[in-house]
Amino acid sequence: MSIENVVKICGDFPKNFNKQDIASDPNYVFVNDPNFSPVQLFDIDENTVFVNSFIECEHYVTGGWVYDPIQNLETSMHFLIIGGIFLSVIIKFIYSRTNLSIFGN
Amino acid sequence: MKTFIKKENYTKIFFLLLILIIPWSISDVTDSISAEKITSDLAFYEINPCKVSLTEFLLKNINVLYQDHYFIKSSNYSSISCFGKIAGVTQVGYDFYINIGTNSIINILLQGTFWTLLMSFLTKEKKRFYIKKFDYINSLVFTAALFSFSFFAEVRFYEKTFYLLDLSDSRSYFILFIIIAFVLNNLLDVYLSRFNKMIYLSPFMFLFIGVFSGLNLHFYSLIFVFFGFVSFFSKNINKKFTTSYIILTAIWCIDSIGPSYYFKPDKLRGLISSMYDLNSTFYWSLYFFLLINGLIYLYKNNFKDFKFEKIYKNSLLIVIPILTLGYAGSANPIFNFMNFYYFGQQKVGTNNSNPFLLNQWSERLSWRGFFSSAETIGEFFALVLILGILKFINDRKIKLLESSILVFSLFGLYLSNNRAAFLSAILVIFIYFSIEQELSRTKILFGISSILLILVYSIGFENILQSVAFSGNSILTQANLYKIEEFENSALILLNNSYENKTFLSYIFSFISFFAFYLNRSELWGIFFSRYNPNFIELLLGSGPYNFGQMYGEVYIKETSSLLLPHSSLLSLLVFFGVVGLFLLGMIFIFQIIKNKNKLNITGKLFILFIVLNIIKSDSLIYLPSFTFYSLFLYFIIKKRNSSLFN
Repeated sequence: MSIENVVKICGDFPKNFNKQDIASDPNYVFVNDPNFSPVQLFDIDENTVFVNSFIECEHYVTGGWVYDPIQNLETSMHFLIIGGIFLSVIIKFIYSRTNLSIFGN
Repeated sequence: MKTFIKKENYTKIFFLLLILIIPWSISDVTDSISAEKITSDLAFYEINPCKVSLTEFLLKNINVLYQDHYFIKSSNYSSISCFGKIAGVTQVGYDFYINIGTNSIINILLQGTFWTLLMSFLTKEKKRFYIKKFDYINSLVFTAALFSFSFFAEVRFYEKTFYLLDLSDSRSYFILFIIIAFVLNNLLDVYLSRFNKMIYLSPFMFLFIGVFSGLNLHFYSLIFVFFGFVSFFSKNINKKFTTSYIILTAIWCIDSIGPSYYFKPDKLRGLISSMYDLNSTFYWSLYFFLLINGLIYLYKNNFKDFKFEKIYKNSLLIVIPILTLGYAGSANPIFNFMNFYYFGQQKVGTNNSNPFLLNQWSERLSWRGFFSSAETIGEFFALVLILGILKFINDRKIKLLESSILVFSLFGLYLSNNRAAFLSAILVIFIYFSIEQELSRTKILFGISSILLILVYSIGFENILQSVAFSGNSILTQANLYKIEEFENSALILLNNSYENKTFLSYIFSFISFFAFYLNRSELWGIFFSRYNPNFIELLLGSGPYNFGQMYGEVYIKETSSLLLPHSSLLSLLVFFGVVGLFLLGMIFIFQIIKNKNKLNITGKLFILFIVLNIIKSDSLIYLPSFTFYSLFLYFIIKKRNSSLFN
């Protein structure tokens, strides 16, 4: 997952940020950062988690928890609209070829 | 049997009703959430945004329809799924502000379709207006591309109106391009089959103003710019004008590089640049060029059969709706909201339901009602009145309905409190009447005295007695009053110096000040000169069309009561095109009048007089309805033999 995504979702990297190998440490416990505003993350199945520190946020985002259901819904709507427009153009084309008219004369 | 509604119109009416009802009635009926009564505890609407449709809400809160402390506003920065639903309710004092979720993308489709459907009620002509297929496709693509570019050029405005549409991503522009091309193509389908009738619908632009909610874009711009491209591709343009304009655009663009300034469009939405920077200057320069060429193309292609009679008849049709909808909107929140949405108002109609309100000095306050500018709609009413009375003087007969509408027009003019339009209308009517009736000198003298008396009354007797030195300094005095010491502006420095040294400029300016004082423009023009800060190039050539951003953003002045525009189209043109541009425009205008003087009759001359007098002291040229209306009047009066224009 790109660094831009981490910055976009979690904010700027802290100055002395040191990436740790959390995945290989099953006993790793994330420490809450009181200066970090909690962020709600979603995975592809719309499972959700609240992260309370930059390290935790970066870990989840790089692990693929980057889905935003609201954004996804809006994007789907945009595609639906574009699809609808293309469909109506095709229907209109067929109507014009078959000499029919929706609005009469 | 002849019926009012033709059979083929049933489908259209059905679609219109769908567009009017469905968007505000969709909600999830499977959830357990239903609308709640509004009280001071607004927790329900805070917890459940976008869950209750407007219809559901109104059924539960029927009092919102008639009580004046409820205000319904559209919130364009809402998701598509939130469209037509209650996005939030806020309480400020005793007032409740109900935000209805709307979405700018849906607005383009919904409003565009609604207005296109309305146009389609006009019966088709036998022959569709012919445009070469190649020109048609090119123009369609370029028009959609230009408006898509406008979203990029004015990104600061649009990032607050397009919900979750990433304007740094080119895919977003593709979506917008497709939507605009779709709306335009449908519009053209309707327009081209009714081409010669459409021009007569221009008065309807004062009723269906046609600004897309959440956008700085007029629906009519689509068609004007399209025809601008058509005239360009069909090489139907003036080469000298085009070459000079390209050079000017290059200069404006180079000059705009540097700090950018934001201008909140407010009541000018649709025909004003919201940014002063390179992209925006380029877009608006191109837009203006295409707008002018598009209008000329439309006028040229309607030249042969054009007559003002139909314009007058259509103007009569909208007088009463403008007044009644304005009043309904001021007294009723739902009317206010629907007016804004379906008529495409630039600014929500007034909520002042007392059109006869006075200020603390017992002076009448102007009532703008439905339109965003009281002054501009006042001019429209005056113009309708002139057309009607001139027709009456000619025909010596008038129908009851027609005369009643003219009375409403006079009433509208009275409410707008546009004294200059009223006086100029009286002047025009009197000149026409005295010439047509060949009045004796005594009667003419009596008429002139009466007009002068009205003039003195409207200026105020105490103002007439002011010294020339006072009125001659009025603009400068006001400009210095509004000035903040830390912000120097070149125009005011120049004026102060010229008054100190008594240069030739100070005498010219005193002369202008003298008239400004009696036109009640001293303060407004003073504010203009306390802001106007051009460099040498800008003074000569301006900052480019529709660019107010630099003037309103560069120099800070003391607080004003509201967004105060220059209140003179000449001053606006000075900002846009500079001294040289203004001079050239004036010269072209005078040259055209002299060149076509044989075509002009007294009626035409009087209309020119009325329009010129009014645009000097109003902002009408920066509103698309009045700009189109005036350009149509001037073009046909100057270019076409007047005897065939006015019957």
